[in-house]
Amino acid sequence: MVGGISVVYATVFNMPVSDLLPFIGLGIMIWMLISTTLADACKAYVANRAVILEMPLPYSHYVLKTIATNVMVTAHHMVVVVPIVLILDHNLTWQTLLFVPGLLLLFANLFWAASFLALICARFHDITLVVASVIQLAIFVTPIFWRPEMLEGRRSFILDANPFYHLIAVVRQPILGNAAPDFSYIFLSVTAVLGISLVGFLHKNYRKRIVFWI
Amino acid sequence: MASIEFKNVYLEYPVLGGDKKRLLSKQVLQQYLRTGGMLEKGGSGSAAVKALSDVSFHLTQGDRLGLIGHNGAGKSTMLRTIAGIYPATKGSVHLDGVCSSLFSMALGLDPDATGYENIRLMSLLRNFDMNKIDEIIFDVAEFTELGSYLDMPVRTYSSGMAARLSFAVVTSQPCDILLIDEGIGAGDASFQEKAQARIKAFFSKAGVMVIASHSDALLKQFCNKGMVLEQGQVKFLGSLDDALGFYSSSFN
Repeated sequence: MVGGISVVYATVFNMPVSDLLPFIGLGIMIWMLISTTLADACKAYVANRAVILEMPLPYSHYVLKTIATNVMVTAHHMVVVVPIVLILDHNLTWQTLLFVPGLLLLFANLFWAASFLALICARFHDITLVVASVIQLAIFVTPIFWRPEMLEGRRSFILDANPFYHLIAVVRQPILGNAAPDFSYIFLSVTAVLGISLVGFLHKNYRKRIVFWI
Repeated sequence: MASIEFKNVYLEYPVLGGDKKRLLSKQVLQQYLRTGGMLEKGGSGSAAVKALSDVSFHLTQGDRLGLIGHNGAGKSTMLRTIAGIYPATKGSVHLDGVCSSLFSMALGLDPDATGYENIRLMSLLRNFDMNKIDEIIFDVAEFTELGSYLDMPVRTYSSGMAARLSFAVVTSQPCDILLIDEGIGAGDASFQEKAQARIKAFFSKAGVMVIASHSDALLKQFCNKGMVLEQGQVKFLGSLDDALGFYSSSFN
């Protein structure tokens, strides 16, 4: 699939396939991790109702289980993407290791966002559908199939205001040889701190009621 | 020393959905409901169910309590409050000792994993000592007589087989407090016999046990104390025979 998409878009944008293949491969892989984690997170408490009513485990257990499941799925995607990157990406240096702090930021943000969605969707079950729609549309406004440079400085808010762009950029860009923009790191650090505080606050106040919602 | 102590415990929970206007109308609120807890006006104007009200008791080592009551009288709610799954709205719940629960037989099993994998999974979830996992597996395999079925996914099991498996795992390790909800009613006659023998052996290790059941025979077999519940209130607490007597005379 990655190959097919890359050939089509390389033709559309008139770029060499070998340049676009690692870019799209990495982009799709990270996007799938983000989108499926968030979609599954909506059901994290509701789907585990049986276990929650059986034994008192901390709620983070169900969120972390959701993330772990999707990391396992991503590991399967890596079988395709890692060889593509190793063969076609000529920018692998020590700087590539910058993707590690990127991953930390990605997971910190995924954790709070997943906890938040699990809680909100437990109270309002319908939000699950809203999240599914948002995720479906977000793939079009996020540079996965098109390069961020193609905007050439026009309407840069399209990138700056898109959290999905930052989440993907901090992992993808270091691997492709150009560090992610500083703004992405700042943006994600701020959302991680704010988000984890928000989730901590919500759980402190509503944790005891979750069991009656599901 | 294992013990369970409830002091003036209240448990209310909000009703989400449902016809709020109708639920909060005078007729409904003043209705005498024989099943279920009392309905009342909760915080922020929503309907609430008073599932437990002013419950106090103290159970110590050797107490085997049977919970008696109609459907919805609060038996399962009581067990879940003891287990810490439902947080008390008011009052205090205090437990001494490790608590193990068996509320729904086949739940907590992963249908796609094999029997052996499920034994590991349940042991992990229940925080058993994983150094003893080989012992647990051997014990469970022997007790359940599932043989090579343990190598097959649990979705191929009948409900009785699944019940055997989860029952065996939960009772494979000693604990201080054991909570059972109608659990041992499942399975065929030979399993029933084995389960009862195992429960008896388990007793000698478990300090306190609480069982919710509609079966007098089952309660008589395992319990020495009885508690009669109605609308979330304790109507009677005493020896099992007295409790059963009280229940049949006052409600039938």
